[in-house]
Amino acid sequence: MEESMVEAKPEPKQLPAAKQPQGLRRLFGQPLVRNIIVGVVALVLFYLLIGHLSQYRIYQLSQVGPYLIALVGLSVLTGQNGQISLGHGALMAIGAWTLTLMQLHTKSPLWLMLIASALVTMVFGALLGLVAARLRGPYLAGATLALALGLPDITTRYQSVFGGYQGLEVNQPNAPSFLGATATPTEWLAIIEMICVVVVMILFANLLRSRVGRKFRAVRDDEIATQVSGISVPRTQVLAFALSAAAAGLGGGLFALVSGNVSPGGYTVVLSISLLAAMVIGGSGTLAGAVWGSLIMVYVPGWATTLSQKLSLNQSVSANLALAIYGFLLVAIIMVAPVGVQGIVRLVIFKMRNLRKEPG
Amino acid sequence: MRNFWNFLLIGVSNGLVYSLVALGIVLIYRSTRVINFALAAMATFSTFIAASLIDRNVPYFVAFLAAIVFGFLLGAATERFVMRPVESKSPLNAVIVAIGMLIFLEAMAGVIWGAKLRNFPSHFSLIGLKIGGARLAISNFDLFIVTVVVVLLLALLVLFRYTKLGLMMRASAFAPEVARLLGVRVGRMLTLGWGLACAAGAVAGLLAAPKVFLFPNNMDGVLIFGFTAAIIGGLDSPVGALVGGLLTGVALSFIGGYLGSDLENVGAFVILVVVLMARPEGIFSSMSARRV
Amino acid sequence: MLTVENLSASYGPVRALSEVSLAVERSRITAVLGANGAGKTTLLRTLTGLVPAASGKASLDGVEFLRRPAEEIARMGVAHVPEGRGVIQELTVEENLRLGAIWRRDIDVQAKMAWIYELFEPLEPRAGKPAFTLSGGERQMLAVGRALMAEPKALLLDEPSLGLAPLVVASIMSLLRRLCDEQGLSVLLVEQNARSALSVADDAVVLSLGRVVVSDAAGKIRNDEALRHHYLGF
Repeated sequence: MEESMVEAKPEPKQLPAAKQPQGLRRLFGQPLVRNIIVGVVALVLFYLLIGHLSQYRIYQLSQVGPYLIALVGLSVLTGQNGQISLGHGALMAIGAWTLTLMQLHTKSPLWLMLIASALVTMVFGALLGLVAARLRGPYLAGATLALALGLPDITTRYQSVFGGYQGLEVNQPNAPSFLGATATPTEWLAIIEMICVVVVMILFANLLRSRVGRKFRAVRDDEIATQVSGISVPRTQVLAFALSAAAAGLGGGLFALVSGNVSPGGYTVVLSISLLAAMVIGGSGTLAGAVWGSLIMVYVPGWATTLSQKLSLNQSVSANLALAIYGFLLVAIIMVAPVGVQGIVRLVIFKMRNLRKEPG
Repeated sequence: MRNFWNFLLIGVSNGLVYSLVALGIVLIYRSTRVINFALAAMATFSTFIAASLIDRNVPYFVAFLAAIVFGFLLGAATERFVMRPVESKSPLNAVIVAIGMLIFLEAMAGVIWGAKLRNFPSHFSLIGLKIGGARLAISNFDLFIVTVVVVLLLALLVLFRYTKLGLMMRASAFAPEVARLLGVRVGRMLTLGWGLACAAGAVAGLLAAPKVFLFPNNMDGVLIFGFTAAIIGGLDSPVGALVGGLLTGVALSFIGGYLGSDLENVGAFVILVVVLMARPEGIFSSMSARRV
Repeated sequence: MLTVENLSASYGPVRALSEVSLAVERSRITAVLGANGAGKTTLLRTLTGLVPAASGKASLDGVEFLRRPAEEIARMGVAHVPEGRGVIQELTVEENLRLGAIWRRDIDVQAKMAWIYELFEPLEPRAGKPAFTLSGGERQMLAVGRALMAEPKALLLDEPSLGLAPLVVASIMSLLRRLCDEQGLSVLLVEQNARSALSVADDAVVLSLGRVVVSDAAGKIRNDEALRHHYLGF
């Protein structure tokens, strides 16, 4: 689903369908339609898959979704638009508290709370984007890092509203009856997440294919040339920040649902840093890379823990050893695969295609 | 009024430690364009070395020097064997590698020395000095901090301004290719720069530990404030690192003192945004001058 | 004497130099001419180790130096003044000059600097100023002066006339001639400005698409109207 700069011009819009020569095939040929079909198929497969998994596995899998959506946002911002953010954990926190507070104080339906998580965070992201548009590389990294450090402290400063160190509880929605009487909240949550993932992926895939996506990349590649060609660089950067924040906010809202509570300890600097690391390791600027990155965020620490538990006896040593393995892997992956997992996948696909072509 | 002076003095003392961290960040940034997040872990690791030497009855100052030497070697080895292969690829990759190093080294410190909080001796009294019956917020140890930082900064100033080695290091930082064409062994200069930067980080770790205690990620907060200081000063200016550190330290001390210590982190963000809105590349950055 | 034999280099799949050969005796200037993209700059960058050579040889007074690290080639006596003048803008004029001889332990730096200030008079009053305060011509003087600090045997200049007023160019060229004769330098002078390069050079090679298409005495090329029209555009 990822984009490159070399892109066919978008199809002329709003031509009456009847005038198109080959109606159906033409329709399927459109990227949006194709993406929607892929998304629906993925959703169905996912539903069938969780029928075969234990509740714990489903719970583990449902941790992927929030990260994935946040990583899509970060990847678009950093990989496609060239703005680094070490503060996406803080943006997730905004989404998480938005959903929690709405659940606590209103009787809004779930879909509304999720959309609100995205929108509130988007507004905040736009404000942050106004600051970010003036800053370059490491200066932006520092400012967003300071945000990631400072924002969770607001929740302890205003305990009565945000719940302090303990945080607030979040109720998980019950499964609707059409899923059958045995469906658990865990399964329902996993399905909700998958729907959100599919919607976000389709929206961003389409966005990156559009004029807006080309503007993002133009700004990343050469700000001066872009400005000269009549595109407002700051406006594009603020837009990228706002859209990226919306994804992070939605991810945060889902994260609150999955965790069952929100507390400042869940949204520290470590989260922000892990997001950036996962984004780069997955493959910066690609939607598929966000998938890899979120899988790595959820499963690699688990594997590292299992591995270190096998190696040692002492509890504290094994916890630290797991972290050490994780850190070591970060360094090793970047050294071995500077373009990230998705870069390797692409290379393999490319090689296989060439192999197939050669005999023919 | 007494509060005011005490907050100021605490701010200066903390600020000097931030300055050292900022200096470590600046020395590396201006030569390799990498933000070395691993500096916190390197500082902590070096401090643990000193702590375990002191446990074995090695005199304080010997352990202090040994930790600095260790920090130097750790930094130099990191540049040579870990960063150099990735430096040329993309700045983002180098940052992730530095973060990986941070996680790895801190966890290894936890594996070796345990994750529990421990005291680190200060050698000098931490109790506030008395002047005319009033007890000040600064102690003998704070005076020691001031002395160490001033001596270190002067030593670096002499190195960079008045020695051949310093000239070669600056040339390597500003224009690596031209420096090579003039016969400067740039690779060695970068290794040396990382060594010096991490030695400065080790000093910061040794000076911070008596106050923040010693545990595997005890320097994370200090690193972020040091990074804030480096940015405020302008990432390629050592003078900026000193001034930025002092500004950050004093501002945070006032925010913590008057508004509540839980607002210090938020304060750092606000200070950063305010300064960067006025000067997007920090106060002392030479970037704008270079574009001429 | 600087000798280059069958030197080739590539940028990825693009061959930038193929089989370039030339020789520059001591006290002689060879001009390297050709259009944009002909490979002139690549030739110098390959010789001094900034671009890896694909094949070929290069030696200075019989000592092979190609494929050594750039800093070691410099220490063998090959000085390269890069395009765009290559002064380090953040450093002062004096620091730039000191840097020129930084690896030489057997040189009286003060005396050497005094000599440079004599050659390039406008530099002396600027000694303590950062290099970015200099004019274009002064920067060129500083770059050449800095290259001379280490008493090189070969001097490789990349477009010294770029962006300079004709009078300044003329004075730099004549100074170059004088230095070459006095110091016994082998000078390789890469120039877009063929007319002024030919006025001072002994020999010239013309590069086109990375190949040597003409190699002859400078005077002959200057007088060969057809050749000038075809390759040099004047």
